[in-house]
Amino acid sequence: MHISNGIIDGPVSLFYGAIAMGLLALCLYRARQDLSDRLAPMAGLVAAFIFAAQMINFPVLPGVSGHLLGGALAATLVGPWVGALCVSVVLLVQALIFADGGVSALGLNIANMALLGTAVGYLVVVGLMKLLPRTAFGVGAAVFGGSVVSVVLASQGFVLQYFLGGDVDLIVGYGQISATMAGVHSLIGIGEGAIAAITVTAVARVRPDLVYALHGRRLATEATEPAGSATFRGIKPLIAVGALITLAIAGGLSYFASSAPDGLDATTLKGCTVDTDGNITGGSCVAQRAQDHELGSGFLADYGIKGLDSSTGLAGVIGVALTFAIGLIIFWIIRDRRRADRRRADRRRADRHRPGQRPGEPVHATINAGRLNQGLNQGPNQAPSQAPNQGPSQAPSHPDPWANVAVPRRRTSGSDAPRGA
Amino acid sequence: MGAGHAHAMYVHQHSPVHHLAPEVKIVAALAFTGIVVATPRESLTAFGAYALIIAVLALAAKIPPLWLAKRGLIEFPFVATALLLPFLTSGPRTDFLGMSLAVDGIWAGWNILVKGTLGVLIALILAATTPARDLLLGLDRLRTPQAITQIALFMLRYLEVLADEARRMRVARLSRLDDPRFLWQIKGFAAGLGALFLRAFERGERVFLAMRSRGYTGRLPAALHAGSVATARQWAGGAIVPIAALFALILMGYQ
Repeated sequence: MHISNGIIDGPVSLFYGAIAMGLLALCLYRARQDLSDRLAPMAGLVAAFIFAAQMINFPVLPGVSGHLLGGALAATLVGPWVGALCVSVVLLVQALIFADGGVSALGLNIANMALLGTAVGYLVVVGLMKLLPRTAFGVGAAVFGGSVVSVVLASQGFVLQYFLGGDVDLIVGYGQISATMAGVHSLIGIGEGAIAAITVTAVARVRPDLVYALHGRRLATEATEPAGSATFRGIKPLIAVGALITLAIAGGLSYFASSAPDGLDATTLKGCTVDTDGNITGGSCVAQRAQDHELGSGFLADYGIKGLDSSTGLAGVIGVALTFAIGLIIFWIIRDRRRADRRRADRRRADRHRPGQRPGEPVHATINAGRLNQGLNQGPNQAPSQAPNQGPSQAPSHPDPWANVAVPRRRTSGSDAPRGA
Repeated sequence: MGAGHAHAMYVHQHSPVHHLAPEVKIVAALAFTGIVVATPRESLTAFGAYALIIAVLALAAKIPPLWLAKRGLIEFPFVATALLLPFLTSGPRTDFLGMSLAVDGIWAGWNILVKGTLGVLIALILAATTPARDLLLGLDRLRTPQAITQIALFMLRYLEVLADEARRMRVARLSRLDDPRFLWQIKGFAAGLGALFLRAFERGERVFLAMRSRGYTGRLPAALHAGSVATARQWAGGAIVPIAALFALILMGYQ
């Protein structure tokens, strides 16, 4: 997500640097009003919190490591001014001390992630909070929406920067780049949104006065349900809602983004005469080179399905679904491998504790026994007399000192659920 | 704490580069990066000269090359972008190993690759030779607004504390039979994040009160500024790097 040196040219970087400096000065002024002379320690700790939240490794989908940006989260918790300031400081330190993000691209990064992301995220959160009920779920949904929009718009900020100061013309038009970026980042935004939503509801339950966007008001009490269960209940609808929002963005926005020449496309068409079908008939312009490329006849090329009119939205939806499916498949593969590793480690440990056996041949015996037993365990009418604690990876047929020890990692769903024993 | 805790990126050595005042190093690194970014992408010899300057700097600062290479991996996502560009660019194309690549795209990829790498390397040398506290002190002497440097100072000071706290909470969760898996671990993770925020915020209040009771007025302690302000000689020494780069740009960049 951090732009490095050399992607955007010098003048545009300088221009964005100047904008970022001006807006940061405004943030500083307003942040002082929020925190007065407590500003430095408080904002410093919040910045450290954001940095730490970004540092914690969170493997949701392997390969898709959209780490937390924290713009909307910070804005909700400490307000847009302090939030933008904190994220900017995080970016500054990352560029200077951790070499993450180019020094010359600092203005670009601050403009996207700290200023644009935070401001838009905060506006959406506050707007949604006005519409939604002031319950934990309402607040969570507002923060979720704000985070998704903030991440997607930050990516659009990069597209704009690339349009202004990018080096080369790509075969795909800027409308399509923007649609692709929106699709990918709405996926990242869902992860970010879910985390931000649960974080904010967790804080709002305990110290609603510390959630800036609540303006000192408390949550509506949910007297009927115990605390904690609501968060748990909240996550599945949240993911479902997130998936729907993504599809809506991909389907709806990308339709508008590329079915007609939008603002960016229109600029690249400048200097050409265009007929009613959008074909370039004469003149010379940037977009001319982008036409007639070999990939242009691909199935999803131009983000419209061949043979269907105005199907750009549909192609966007398919794209998101495909991306998600690929991610899921990768996840499944890695999860299975990890499970196999764990099983192997468990077995090795079990072998080590069995007296009088050499480590060579008995391993196979254990595997076979385990497989066999696993098959038996998963049968529909499992004997209730079996030990309730046994997972599919264990072989109860031989004396295993670890069999009844609750190892945290071994708890698996499915056949090992306690059944009234 | 007055001695300045070295951050993870600091390579402890005694060298002329390490002993240079931080503000000089910051200005030199910024100027060098600016010159690199401003170089036309076709002037290969100029980039070679920049690489030579960086190699000399790393040698003078006694930074192990392997360390530089390992830390430089942070650039990896952009290498991927750079490698993709030749396939995605319009314009005249050339055949290479049976692949049709756009000439313009190859140049653009090269541009990102070389400028990104040089930028990361100079930033790494800056970070490796300057403790974090000194970097912020340098920024402060360069008239960066006090609020920004102070926020950054507090952030760096408490970053490890918070990261450690997060690690402890995770261990506590795991030892209570939480079994993180796929998406459902988001709940535990994010609830922990909420707790972390509360602890951070409350710690900030405590820290402020403690500092206030010891006479904090909203400025960095004057003791931080005592000594080690850059002399004219140090400025001249630090200026060698960007000036050498500028010469390279003028001599080889615009042939």
